[in-house]
Amino acid sequence: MNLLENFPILSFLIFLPIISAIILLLVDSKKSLFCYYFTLSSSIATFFLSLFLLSNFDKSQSGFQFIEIWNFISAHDIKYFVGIDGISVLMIVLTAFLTPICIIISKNSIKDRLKEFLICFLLIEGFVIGAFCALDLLFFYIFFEAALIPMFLVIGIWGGENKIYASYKFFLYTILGSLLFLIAIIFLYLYAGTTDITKLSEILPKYLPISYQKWLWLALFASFAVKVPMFPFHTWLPDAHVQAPTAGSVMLAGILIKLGAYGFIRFSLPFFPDASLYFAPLIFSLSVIAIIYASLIALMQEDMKKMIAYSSVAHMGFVTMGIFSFNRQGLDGAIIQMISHGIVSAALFICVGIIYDRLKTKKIKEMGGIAEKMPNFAFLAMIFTMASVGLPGTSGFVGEFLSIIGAFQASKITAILAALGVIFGACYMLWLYKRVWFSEITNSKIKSFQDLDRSEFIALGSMSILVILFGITPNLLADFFFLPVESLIKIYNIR
Amino acid sequence: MNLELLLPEIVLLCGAISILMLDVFLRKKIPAISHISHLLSLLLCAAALVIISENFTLETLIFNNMIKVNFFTSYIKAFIIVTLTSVLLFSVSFVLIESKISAEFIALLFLATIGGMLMISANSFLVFYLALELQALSLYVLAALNRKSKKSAESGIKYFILGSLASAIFLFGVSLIYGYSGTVNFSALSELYPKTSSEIMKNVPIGVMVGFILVITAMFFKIAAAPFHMWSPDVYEGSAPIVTTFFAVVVKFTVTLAFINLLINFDIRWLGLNKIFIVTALLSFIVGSFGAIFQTNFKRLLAYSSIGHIGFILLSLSSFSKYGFSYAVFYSMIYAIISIGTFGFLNIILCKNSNRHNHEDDNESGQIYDIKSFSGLSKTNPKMAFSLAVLMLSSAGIPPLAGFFSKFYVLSAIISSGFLYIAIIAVLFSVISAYYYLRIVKIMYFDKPNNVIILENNFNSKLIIMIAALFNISLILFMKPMIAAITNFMPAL
Repeated sequence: MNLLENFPILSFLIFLPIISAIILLLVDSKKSLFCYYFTLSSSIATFFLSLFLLSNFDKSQSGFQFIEIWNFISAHDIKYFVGIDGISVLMIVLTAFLTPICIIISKNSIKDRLKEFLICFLLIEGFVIGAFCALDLLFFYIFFEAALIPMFLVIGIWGGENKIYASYKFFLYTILGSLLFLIAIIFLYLYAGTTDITKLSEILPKYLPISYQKWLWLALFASFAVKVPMFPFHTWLPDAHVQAPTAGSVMLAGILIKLGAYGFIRFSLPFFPDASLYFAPLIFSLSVIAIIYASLIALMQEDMKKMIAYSSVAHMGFVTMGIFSFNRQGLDGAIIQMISHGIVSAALFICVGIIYDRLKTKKIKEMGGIAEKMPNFAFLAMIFTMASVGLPGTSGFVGEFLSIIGAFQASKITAILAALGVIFGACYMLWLYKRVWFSEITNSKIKSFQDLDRSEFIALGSMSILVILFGITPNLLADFFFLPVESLIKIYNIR
Repeated sequence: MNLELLLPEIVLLCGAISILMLDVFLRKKIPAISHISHLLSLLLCAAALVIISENFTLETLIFNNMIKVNFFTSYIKAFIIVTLTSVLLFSVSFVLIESKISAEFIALLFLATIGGMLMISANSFLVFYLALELQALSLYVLAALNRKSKKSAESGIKYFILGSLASAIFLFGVSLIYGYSGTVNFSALSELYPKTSSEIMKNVPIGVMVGFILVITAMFFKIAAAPFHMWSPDVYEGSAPIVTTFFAVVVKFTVTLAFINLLINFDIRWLGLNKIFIVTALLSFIVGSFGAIFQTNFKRLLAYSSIGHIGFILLSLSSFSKYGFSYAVFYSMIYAIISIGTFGFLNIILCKNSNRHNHEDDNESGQIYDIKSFSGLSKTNPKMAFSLAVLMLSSAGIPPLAGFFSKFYVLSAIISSGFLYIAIIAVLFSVISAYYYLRIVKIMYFDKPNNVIILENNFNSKLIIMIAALFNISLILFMKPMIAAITNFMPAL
């Protein structure tokens, strides 16, 4: 442990991918195989580093750990300040886990400008880890926003036919929200004289008048609601997903949209408890609308990727609902659902990508009977479909169940309506599974299908193990964030 | 007399004159000598600045209190010399093509810079006006320097007529101030009408107020803030690319800093003038963002975007606090560096068919500066495309690039002075401007190459553009000393 105390492990986690990206920038782009293996090894190294972090994380300690402060940014009280608690450590590991998978699955599907593609992913990884570690508001914002540019490029360069529209929509929606967040940051900085998250969460709930709280809460909401995305700010998500390459969708669904939910937990809840209570009904109704409305739209989709994108909106509805029920079950459920959805939706997007690589279409009509030719694939896809539906024994069940229980204590009608959404979820996912993997083979291309190759199998297999593991023993996760959630609930219990 | 305090300007002036003289007498014999002479004078000027800033840390007034030299002015002048050097490095190929007028061209650049440096040092309206005119007259000629192009002649005349009008307004304002107060000296005026005292406010003669308003209006014209911006897109488009670069990098910076220097002396809140600043800033946002969306010419687009940036500077000035002024200076510096890259990029664009610089042919230059001609640049020229993309994103204010921090500080200045709503409006406009900056990135990265242009294989220019881009990426590492230097030496308000 002594060795660890001085070892800046979080900075390593943030800057290892970024520096690898810079090194990659200098490599000749013709050596694409070298670029690929370099990126893969760098991201796997990051993953092991994150596991090392996880194993050294002290669950019994509340507050932030592995803190690093480096005051080199400006003359004011804005500094490079990173540290993690039980919520962020899990998100970091999730990020570090999904990035190598993104890289593995892109090896065959990305042929054009592979080097730049890999650079974008390394940058996204570094920035997102940075955002999860940041304990300074401005630094969070910088990382939060910086991850936009590589994602914009990923959608715009390697996307589908309508990629430019989708990339613009993604970028402008997100930046509009986050600039309001920036205004809130500046206001908080001028009000409290610091952007240190730990100090702000002590000062603000006590001294900030409720009228200010409401406006600032709305500014933060604008940013996070777009990112999550909540109804009615969700319209960029289906476009972005449909046009993005598979790995881009994985990154977007798996990690980037979790930043929004993370922002609610890390900032909105502890900073503005009164405003959060005041606006909780709004969040509840938007979440329920998202769950039911997005599920109904998903039912009608002919494009498989769009269907899964809408299911993402519905599943993130459970997350926001859980967060704003302000009790242990709700928050636990929301965080588990974040991680579960990160894995499950990523895996489902990979499934779409696998089919698309072979079939060159995403239309559900033209699929069918894939299970016959690809039994292993069908088995793994079944696990993810079930997790998405929320079958007991998978991680999806734990997340949805707990957040519904949490919401039930706060508002019965919300919980009942949300539970209705689960039924819709089962409808479209099972129907999708039936139409794609079962039924008759109508498309002659499918007859010549080969089963998963090794890299695809590794990617999906490892994810399916995690889905079942977390479904059976959710305490593996819940132990980590027991204390942070405890301290959040404490704020609300006295109100 | 303390003449040595003016050494930087004197050295540059000697440089300008010697370049002209050497050109007359020695060009045919030793052509290289003119290059050596201008680099030498720049080096000497930089050396003079270093000496001054080391020996005269306190503020010194010379020439009957007409000129003021302190660490801050030396710091700014050093920055001007850096930007001028980069423009000169860009100008190498222009000088080669236009070898007949190259000496005049460089001498004019020097004279305009001297004008700007004197303006920054001015402590009297008279010196300020003379320096302004020294700069402006050089610029009128520079704008029309592109002799064979009709647009350049047009832009020269347009700039001359409108510029003289602005100068006349300035002079009229100064005469009113002199008539009602009896002095044109900044120090004397600020003693007559001290800052932030409401008692005095009632005693300020109406003539002085009107005079100030006229002076400020003229300065708005000079920095091309809306609604006094009409000349700038035309002049930027019509001039030769190197002249446009000079306009955007050196001239804009010097005039802005001179304006700030003027405002430091007077707390014109006693006129309620900070509202004028806010209105002008908002108009600049509107013109800058909506004007640029519909532009297809890269030069015009940059001209409109620079109007939007001026809006941010004015907004920062409107807070009339020490920090507001410091952040305005910081913003101008960052914007000057971004401009070195973006406007410098104009100089390395060549037409694919003729493989030459074609600032002379209006049709052709309209074609190659069309933003569509950049399409697919990321494939044909990845390094330059990357640099330009970084500069564009930095202008849009995306973290962690330099443009974000400059905007951040300006926003914090205006929020702290209570204009929260203005800050929100500024942010909304920067979303709109993000759209057209992104369009450049989109054209370079998402579209297929159409082979209209190639980039000149000029090591100097490419290096400078890349340095500008790298600066934008890495500013986060050395921002602290930069801001500390500005705020420490910004005179307290």
